[in-house]
Amino acid sequence: MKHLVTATALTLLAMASGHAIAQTLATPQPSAASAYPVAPAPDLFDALGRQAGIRTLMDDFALRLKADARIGQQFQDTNLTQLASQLTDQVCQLAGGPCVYKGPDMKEAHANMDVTRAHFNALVEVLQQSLDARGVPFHRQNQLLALLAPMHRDVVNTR
Amino acid sequence: MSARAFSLHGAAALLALCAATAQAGTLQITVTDRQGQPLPDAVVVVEPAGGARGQAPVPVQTTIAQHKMQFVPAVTVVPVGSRVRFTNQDGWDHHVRGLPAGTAGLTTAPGKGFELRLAGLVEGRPPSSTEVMMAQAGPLQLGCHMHSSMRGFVYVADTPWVVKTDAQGVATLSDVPEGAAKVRVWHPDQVVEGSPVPVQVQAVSAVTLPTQVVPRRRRL
Repeated sequence: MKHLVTATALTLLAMASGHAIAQTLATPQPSAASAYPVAPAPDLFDALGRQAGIRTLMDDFALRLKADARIGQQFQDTNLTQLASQLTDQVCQLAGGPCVYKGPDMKEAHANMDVTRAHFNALVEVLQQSLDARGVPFHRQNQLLALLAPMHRDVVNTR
Repeated sequence: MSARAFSLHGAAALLALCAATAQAGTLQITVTDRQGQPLPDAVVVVEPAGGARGQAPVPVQTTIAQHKMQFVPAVTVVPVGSRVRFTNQDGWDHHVRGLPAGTAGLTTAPGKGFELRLAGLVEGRPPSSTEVMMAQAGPLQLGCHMHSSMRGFVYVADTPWVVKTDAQGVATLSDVPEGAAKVRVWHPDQVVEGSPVPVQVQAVSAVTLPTQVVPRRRRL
């Protein structure tokens, strides 16, 4: 009886871990950051205008960030071209595009900055402005934001 | 004859040793921050009264890595003329810019300081690195043009009595001339440098130096 219980437990454990591995393989692995277990919506990459469209979006986004009254200060010394290029790689990869983001994970990237929830929310709003300006439909915007939302836990590091 | 010569030499050596021990003291400095907590990475500069500068320190060869979006170590003290090798351990490109730290950096003439770019680490290949000679004394701020949140510092010393505090906020200097001296503390996060503190260096002495520094936290 005791053996049976142990065997059952072991089988369950094996199944559970097998399931976990299958899940890991099924979802794309963007960077070595914390797990982002969100699969991109179908055709999101195309809807965003593929790599070139995402780059245009991010160039505009970076400019708006620096000009924003709430968080512009955080981007005062930022190399906007570099930022836009990094964001393009990251979003392109997350959206199911062929890019590979090679930068730091989101925890490391923000460790030297004090980022509050207000900063994070302001940045999302500025991104929405850029998406509106590019005429990206609302439901596509939401599909993109759903991919970025899990970064919240790594980016916000200050109360 | 030869035995006599030997004893004379021995006496002279003993005298020299006594003189050396009588003049040189060991100074242990504990630096604290605004909250009274130990302050690591504070550079302590001891200036003996009378303007003694000591023997010029021997230049060294050392490495500052760029790892996980940080300069490691964050603060490096080297004698003037030392060679510092910058090595990129991250899987993406970095840039290194060295300029005089603080307000001095704002008035630095173009072309001064140094700039270099280091390609990202590729598995199976040695990391890209470049060596820079530190020719001018004083604190130097390191930055990365691509990642503006990265900061590092090199303090280039032209006397032997410059040292940085360890994780416990403690720095120890030996061979400091005994007698009156002034101690200056320099820290990357200081708003203004505090005024020098007079100390009395003895054979073995310890002082605690409180500062108004609020160290910047790395949030990981």
